[in-house]
Amino acid sequence: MDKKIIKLSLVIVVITSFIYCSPVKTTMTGGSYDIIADTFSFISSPQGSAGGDFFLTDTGGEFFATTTASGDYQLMAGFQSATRDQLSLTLDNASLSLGQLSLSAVSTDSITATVSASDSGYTLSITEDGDLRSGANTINDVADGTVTAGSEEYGIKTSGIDGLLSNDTAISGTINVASSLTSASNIDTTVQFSASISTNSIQGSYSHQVSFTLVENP
Amino acid sequence: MKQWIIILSLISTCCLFLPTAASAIAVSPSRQTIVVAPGSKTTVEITVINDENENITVFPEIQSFEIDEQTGETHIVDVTDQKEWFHVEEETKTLEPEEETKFQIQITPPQQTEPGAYYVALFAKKQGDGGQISVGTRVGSLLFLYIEGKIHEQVTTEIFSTETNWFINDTLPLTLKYKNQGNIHSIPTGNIILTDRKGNEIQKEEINKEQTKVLAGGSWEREFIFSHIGIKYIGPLYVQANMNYGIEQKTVHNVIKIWYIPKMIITGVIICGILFCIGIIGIRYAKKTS
Repeated sequence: MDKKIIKLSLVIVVITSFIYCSPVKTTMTGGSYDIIADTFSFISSPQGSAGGDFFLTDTGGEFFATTTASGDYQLMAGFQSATRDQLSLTLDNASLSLGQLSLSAVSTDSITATVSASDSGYTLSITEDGDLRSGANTINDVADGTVTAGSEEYGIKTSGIDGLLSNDTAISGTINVASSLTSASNIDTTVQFSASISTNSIQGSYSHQVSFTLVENP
Repeated sequence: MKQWIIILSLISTCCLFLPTAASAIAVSPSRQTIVVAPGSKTTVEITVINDENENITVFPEIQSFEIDEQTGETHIVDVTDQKEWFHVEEETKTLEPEEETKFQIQITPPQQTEPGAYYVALFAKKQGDGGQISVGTRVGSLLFLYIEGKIHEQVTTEIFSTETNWFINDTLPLTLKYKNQGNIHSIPTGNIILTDRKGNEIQKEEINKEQTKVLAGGSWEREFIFSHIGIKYIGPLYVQANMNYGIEQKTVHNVIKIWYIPKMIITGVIICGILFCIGIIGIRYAKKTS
């Protein structure tokens, strides 16, 4: 009986090992990159095929090397490659509320962005669809580095190891809020939005849209 | 047993109130490269993963990217001339939790497109939920798009200077700026060496230690500071910048001459001068009185 069980177990192990055989890769693999389109004629010397060995080392600039003489190079179509890694951005909120703005205090709310990126690091930026506004009326962007109660000002600042804005900063065009030149694994950056009004501010329901953009550093 | 049930129930109830991600998008690959011929049609794709616990709707967006010449950070800018090259079939996609999807982006550069590198960011974007400040999310895949043809590498020095051609403190700040005049990006590397008048090395700094790329048409600029320069190096000093770039490691060499007159020496000379003057005056006064 025991022998039967042992034999059965062996058969199962053998079958299972066949099932779990890793699939044959159909593309070339080198370093951190999968070469999706296997093409050797990526680059050639101006004199044709007089060059020696060609090799690919990177997705950007200087991704090839030849033994050819100095001069220009001929780039050949047909090469395609991609990194294996993922870039991820998690925000703990999809909307913020500053509540009712007052003359006596600065209204704030914050959001935490969590980033994971590969070796070359990342840049996290923010853009807006226009100033914080109510119809044609807007809250002024902060200009002196601090949103102060009693002054009409609106801005953001960051905290966290990769945060770039230590003072209140206006959202104008594209503003980088966090950056790293090395890999990141679930790195948090908290962005605090602050607003204040003055006696000249016009009553209304102020709002706008912002967007956080994450890309890897090239 | 009852206690355990109560504890477990409490833990489960607490878990309901744990903060959950309101927006979590992952994109893959984070970078990709393609070489295409002008006039041809090629497709690249990005994979978008919904890491949220609820359905999300994402749509593609295409912009260009640049590298900040001083920090090496990425800047997203509007695509201008190349906007018509890109076409995405599906405009929006709704993803269930943990689901992933692909956006296929068709690239058709016109026949007359100049060879070289073009830098494009392919985004998956999720709109905000409204409210006073509606917060959207975009995660991008960088596309290094090369157009087939003649590639020209040329990096030149735009700035290699100090504020003045002499200094008295033991600190020498200087600025180095390279401009990529080629049609493909480069990684300039090398070193800056401070030497005395006999060519002996005093200090050395590495150029572009972080291996930042300088995109075609872009620049790379950094400030360097040589500090704690000894008094013994009084006189003319030389700062050499030796930089290599490109496939064949082309070299760019720059030298500037600068005079070092240590503050301590100046102070000593002034004190000696004053003492000398006092001495002369003293001698003359002594002669007069005698």
